[in-house]
Amino acid sequence: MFRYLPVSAGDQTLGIPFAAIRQILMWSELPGSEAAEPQQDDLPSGEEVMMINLGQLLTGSDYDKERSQIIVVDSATQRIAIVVDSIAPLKTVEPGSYSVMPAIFGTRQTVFGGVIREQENLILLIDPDRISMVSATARDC
Amino acid sequence: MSTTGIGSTQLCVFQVPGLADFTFALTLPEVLAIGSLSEALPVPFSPAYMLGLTVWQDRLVTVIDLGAALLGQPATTDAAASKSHFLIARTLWGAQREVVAWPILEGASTSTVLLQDVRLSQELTLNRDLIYSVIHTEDHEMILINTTGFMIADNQVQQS
Repeated sequence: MFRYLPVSAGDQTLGIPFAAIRQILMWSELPGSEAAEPQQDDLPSGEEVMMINLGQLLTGSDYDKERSQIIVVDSATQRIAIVVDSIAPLKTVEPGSYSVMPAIFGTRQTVFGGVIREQENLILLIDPDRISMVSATARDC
Repeated sequence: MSTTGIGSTQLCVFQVPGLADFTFALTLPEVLAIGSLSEALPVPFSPAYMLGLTVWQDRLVTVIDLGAALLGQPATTDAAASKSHFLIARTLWGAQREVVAWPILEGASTSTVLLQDVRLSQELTLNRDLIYSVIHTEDHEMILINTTGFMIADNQVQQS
């Protein structure tokens, strides 16, 4: 079975593989939550992580600090915190519902690692390794 | 390339929106179907000529605006709106089998050509990564599409 957390960011509904998730927080739980924009910040545990505003990264949309949630995930090289607008209950699907992202999308330029098929719907799955790489590239540009 | 006899090959011949002056071809074994597809889900951070992902016969399909890809331009509204007529093809990238599709115009057909008629034209202004060769016959010429050319080099970052 494959488990993922549905999240919404901007106008998109996406998924985050459950295996990568370490912690889920409300924005207000962050020590630096008074900041106007998400930035590199400390988690309540004192850990410093890269902060990625998913809605802004994907659609350029702003976020609502009161409602935003932070999902702390592990990539291969670092721990990152992904800011999303909302989360839905964890979903479990058959392994056959999961497909790896088609190779045509390359590796460096996509933040997605796979796709979940749910009847007629497709859910793009965030790849923690790729999103940290793409986010770092976007910040450099 | 699919051969039907010594020195001949079978092709699916078609035209695409935005490049109606050109005739394109794909080897017949690469063609899975010509038909309709559900609306594609756009994928952020994908090349601008991509229309997104959809499902066909329980398989994940990458939908592309072939005309835009050949011209090196973003997908056009016309192609995105063309929900009813797609060429659905299989391709192999490394060990990964994948399905791609693109909108085509009405009137696709099959054709058998002699391999001796196949030659590479040097005058094309289209994206040569997506073209195997230009096939010249007595009445017209067809551009043979190379679906493996869609594979994006990792250093070619094109955001939509």
